[in-house]
Amino acid sequence: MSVTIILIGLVATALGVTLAVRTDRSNERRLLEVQTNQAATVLGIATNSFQEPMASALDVAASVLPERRRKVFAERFTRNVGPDKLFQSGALWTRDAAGLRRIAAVGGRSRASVTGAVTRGLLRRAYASGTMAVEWVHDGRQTRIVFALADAEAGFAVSTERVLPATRRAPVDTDSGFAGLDYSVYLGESTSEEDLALTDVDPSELPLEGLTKSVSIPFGDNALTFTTRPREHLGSSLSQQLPWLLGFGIPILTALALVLARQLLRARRRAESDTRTITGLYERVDTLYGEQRELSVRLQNALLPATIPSLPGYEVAAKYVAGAQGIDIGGDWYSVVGVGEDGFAFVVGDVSGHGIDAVAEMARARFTVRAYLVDGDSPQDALEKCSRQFDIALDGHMVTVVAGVGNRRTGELVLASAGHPSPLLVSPDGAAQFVPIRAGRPLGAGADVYEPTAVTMPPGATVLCYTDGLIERRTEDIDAGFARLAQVASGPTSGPLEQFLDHVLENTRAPEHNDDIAMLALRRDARLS
Amino acid sequence: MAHFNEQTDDDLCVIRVAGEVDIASTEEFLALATDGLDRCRHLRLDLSEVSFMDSSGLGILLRIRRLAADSGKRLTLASLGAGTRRILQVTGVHQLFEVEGDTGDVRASG
Repeated sequence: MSVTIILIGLVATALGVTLAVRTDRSNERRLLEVQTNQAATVLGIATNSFQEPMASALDVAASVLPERRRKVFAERFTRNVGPDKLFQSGALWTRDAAGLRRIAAVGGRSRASVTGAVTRGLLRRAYASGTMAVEWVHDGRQTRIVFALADAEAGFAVSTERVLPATRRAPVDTDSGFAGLDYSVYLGESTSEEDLALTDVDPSELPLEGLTKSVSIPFGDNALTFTTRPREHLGSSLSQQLPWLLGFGIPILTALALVLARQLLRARRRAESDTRTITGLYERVDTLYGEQRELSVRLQNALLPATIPSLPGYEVAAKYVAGAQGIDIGGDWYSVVGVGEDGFAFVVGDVSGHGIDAVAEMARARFTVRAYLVDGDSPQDALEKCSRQFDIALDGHMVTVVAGVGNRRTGELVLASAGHPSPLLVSPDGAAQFVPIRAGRPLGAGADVYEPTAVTMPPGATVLCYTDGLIERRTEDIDAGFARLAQVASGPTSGPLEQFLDHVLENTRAPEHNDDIAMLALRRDARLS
Repeated sequence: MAHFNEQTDDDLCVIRVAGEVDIASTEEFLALATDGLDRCRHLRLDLSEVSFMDSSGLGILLRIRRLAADSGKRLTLASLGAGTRRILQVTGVHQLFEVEGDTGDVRASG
């Protein structure tokens, strides 16, 4: 992205600067042309200043008496002649059959020999053309311009000489319309140093270079070459500065775009990074939940018997089914333990609530009840002792427990319940009915006394203990759950006890089964009596 | 999820509970009841609209009962539906509560 912006910036700068420079150049050229033409016009008019006094002298010569011509010319023309005057010398001529004859002369005549031939030639040109003839003569140190103007009809002619000053420099007034131009004026078409008539720059800098404009200006029957060069920018300063503005401006804009793009990019990267962080956090939380759930499950599994102790004459099966997929693992448990020579005890319990502390509370309840039963206590005594040790106000949990103590040989069974649903007894012929236990308070709801309920398991009979997850459904009365369990569990049970548990679980569990379920079944072998 | 409705008299706070009282609603239920017990000498829990109560909900009832007993306040359950009454009976806690207007039979288990 940055590279793209830089490339676009470079291209835009190049195009912009090129266009601006071109526009400015053509603008300058046009302006120079206009100003030069204007200056040339002015200069052309200025050349008339040479002709005007000469034409005036011719008029005078033609109008005065012949004997006065010499005197009048000398008097009148003197004002135009002198070191700082328009001309340095001037002469009045006439032409007759004998040829050219000088009538009068003003100013230095010592150089006449040098220019004499030129002057005569010019005079002939002037008589022939009727226009002012102009020529120049270099004589080493000086350059002289020789002018000749004739009145062919009257037969008179005037010749003049102008010595170009040693320094040809003539600065342009700063308030003139052409203050912005450097210029050089050459006599004729050549731009050689000796033909230089006038300039405002140091002659060593000539000829003018760069953007220049040359025009030819009529100078009598000759010509001047007028060359100009802009001394300063002729157009608006904006036009001149535009290339610079663009040259610097576009890179600055590009830099700004780059910074902006970088910031946007950084913001996007930050957003992406945030997204990654958030995703990471979610994953971490997920992992933590997973870890916690795994911990809960491992804890619960650790608390559930890894193997169920074998009870001679009995088949024992148990099952724990975790409910919700969250970490809210329940506190359901089961426990079977041999007691003495022929005895055994079992417990199925449920700690209300979920989570790790429910599991911890379950562990406490499990080992407490079991300890009393292993010690030989009856179920009712064990529960009574436990009821004094659990306090829902302190623990925050309620614990329901069904506890049983049996005799392997006789099949006798004593049961007591602390708020727990009654176990189901399935007779060998498949008839199922709940053991009518009068439940006492759940553990934690205050000390209580529990009623023992005695039943005898005939050979082939099965007792099923479970937690409320197996029978409770949110949409129905708990009695419907009891009825369904009894119905599902009834019928001949010939297969392994494990299969019986699976069958019951399959057919009773609520579709949403979001509560944990613990099941424990003991079946007295049919062959024993 | 249970919905709670509170109504306060001078001496009597009534919390009307509706819907499912389970693990999801225990915190709110307990907080409301605790507040009611702080303000009134008599807290009545109207459970007529309860559609389901699991062992967690039952545990909260037992905790509220304990809080009331410890603070010398009166706690009553009113208008028990058959299902709720049955749960209380099955879990052996129905005798622990003073029930107002409970005229229904308590069926035996099994």
